[in-house]
Amino acid sequence: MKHILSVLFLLFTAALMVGCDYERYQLVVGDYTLEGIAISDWRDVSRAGSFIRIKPGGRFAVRVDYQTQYLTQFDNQTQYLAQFDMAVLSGTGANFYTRVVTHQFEPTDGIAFHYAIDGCSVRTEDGRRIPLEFNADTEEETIKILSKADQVEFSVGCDKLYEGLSSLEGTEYIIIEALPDSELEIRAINYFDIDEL
Amino acid sequence: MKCYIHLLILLPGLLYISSLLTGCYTITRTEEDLYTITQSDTTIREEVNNPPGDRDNGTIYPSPRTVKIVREYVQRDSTVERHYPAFLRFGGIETASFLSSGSGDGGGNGLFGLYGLLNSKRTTATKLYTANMYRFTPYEIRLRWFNDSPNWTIGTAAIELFVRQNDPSAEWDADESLIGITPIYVRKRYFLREDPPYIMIVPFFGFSGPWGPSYYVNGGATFDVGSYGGLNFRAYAGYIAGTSSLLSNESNSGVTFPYFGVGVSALDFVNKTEELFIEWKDHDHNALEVSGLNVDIVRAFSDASDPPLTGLILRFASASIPVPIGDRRWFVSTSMFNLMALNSTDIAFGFLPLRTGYRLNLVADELNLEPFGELTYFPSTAWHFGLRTMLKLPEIEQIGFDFPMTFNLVAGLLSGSTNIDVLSSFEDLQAPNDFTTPYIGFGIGIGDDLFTPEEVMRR
Repeated sequence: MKHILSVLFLLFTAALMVGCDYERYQLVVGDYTLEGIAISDWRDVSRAGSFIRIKPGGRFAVRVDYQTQYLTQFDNQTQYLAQFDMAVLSGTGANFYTRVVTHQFEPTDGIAFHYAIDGCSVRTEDGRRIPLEFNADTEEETIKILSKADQVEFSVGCDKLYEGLSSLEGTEYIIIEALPDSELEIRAINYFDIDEL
Repeated sequence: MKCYIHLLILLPGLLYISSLLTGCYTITRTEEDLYTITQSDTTIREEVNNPPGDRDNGTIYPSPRTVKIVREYVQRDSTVERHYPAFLRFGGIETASFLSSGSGDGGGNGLFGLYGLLNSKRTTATKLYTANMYRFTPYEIRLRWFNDSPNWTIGTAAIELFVRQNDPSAEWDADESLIGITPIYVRKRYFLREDPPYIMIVPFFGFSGPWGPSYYVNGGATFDVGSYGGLNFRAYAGYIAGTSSLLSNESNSGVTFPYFGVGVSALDFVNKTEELFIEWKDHDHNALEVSGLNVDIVRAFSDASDPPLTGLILRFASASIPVPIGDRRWFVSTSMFNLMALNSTDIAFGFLPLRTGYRLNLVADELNLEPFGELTYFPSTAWHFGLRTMLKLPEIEQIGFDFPMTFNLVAGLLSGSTNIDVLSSFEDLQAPNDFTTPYIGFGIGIGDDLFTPEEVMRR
């Protein structure tokens, strides 16, 4: 009886290991890790091999995992140059939010970069929408977001599309939102030390 | 009497072990957001130091201008912490009485496994509830499996004890009891009412850990009503099978029985999954007071020759629920156990007494006055009327008092009978059949959390 129960207990414990935080991802990038959180329904974000796939309307937040930041070159999680290699699998594109927090995320807060095949734009912190003369590509592109001091920049590939100043505090998360008709695939993420830029 | 002295020693021991084990429980989940204001500032200072005297035009001189460029980088970080509950259930004590197989002879532990605790040694009596369950500090967290199927929980308890009595004796032999230390339980909740007090049907499966001391499996379902101020009532149906062979010389002392019954738990707080994402500061409260232990030292005025302090009044695991009328200051209340030992003879005690009172704020929310009336009906019978003044004490984390406490002044009148004739093992007690005794006193409430009517009315 005792041995049966011991085995039962171990099997049960092993089975419980399967249960987890469905919405949290640990993204290993070289010698550091990032923390990803599906802040919409966790079913809107899934892992496809080594890629992250975001379904229409899904929201995925990324930050440097503070538990491993000491292994990296990052002095501060709130200033970064983040680079996302992303493809729009279907639909028109995505929104990238910076200087926001995930807690009760409100899309009208922060600074938003609208990356869409029918035209990109930036929504500034005061609500102004600044159209950019650039159309997104459905093929894989590299989207860069710089948040340094009061400076915010959005680039796609080698094109710097927007450079502006913000009085908002720097925050840890970049939130990627698939537009309601779009499915995204994030194929690579990199964070760079802003002091070495 | 010896039996109760042993019980008194055992209870703090169990509570101590429970507190050690519950130290592993996570009560609060903390999340942080980091905000940074970064200011890059560049100061350019130009100085021109013209050398004295004439200079010949057309001659190349080193420039007298010096330029100092100072770049300053000022960062101000602020960390915002948010605190959320981390548990779906965190409890104090759960007790139950079961209809089961076993012997109907002997006193038994009575309804809820409580009412007969102090007369269980009456071997000539008969009992309806032949089995009991006692569970200390149950704890449940969210279990996310089956594609995040909702309302699954996994949990444990510091200690749980199942007893099925086979004979008139009140002693718990190894073939009558199953004891689990941190047993594992998986439960699924089906809500019938989604507002407090929650009503739910909870099928469960559990088993003892491989560390024993008993080894058993336990399956069944409960019908839960609660929690309201940490108070819960449950109906149980289940089957438990196991052995306590480690506790006995007889290796074949198996204990197997089906059970049906009712139970109560106090200081037992239940959250829905949605509430795990509501910050503690925004949580709704549904009790004016939830208290772990109140101890008042009193002086009874039954005899002029009494010493200055003659006895004590003790309440364990209390909850005061506001009546939803007016501004929610009128409340009804109960405790798991109360003892009013005003002196060596005027003694009354009981389980789940009925109390009602009215909360008056004297100074802000810190100093309150409560006139109250209380009926203790079993095993003693007593009416208790009084005034209780409560002063909220600040939490002093530096010396370990990081839980709510109160300082109390009490005055009242206790009238009733100990009912010594229904008790067993209290032969030494010289208690009169009837007494009416006024008293005054003071004391402390440990783990005594007071909420304002405004906090309760948010709901």
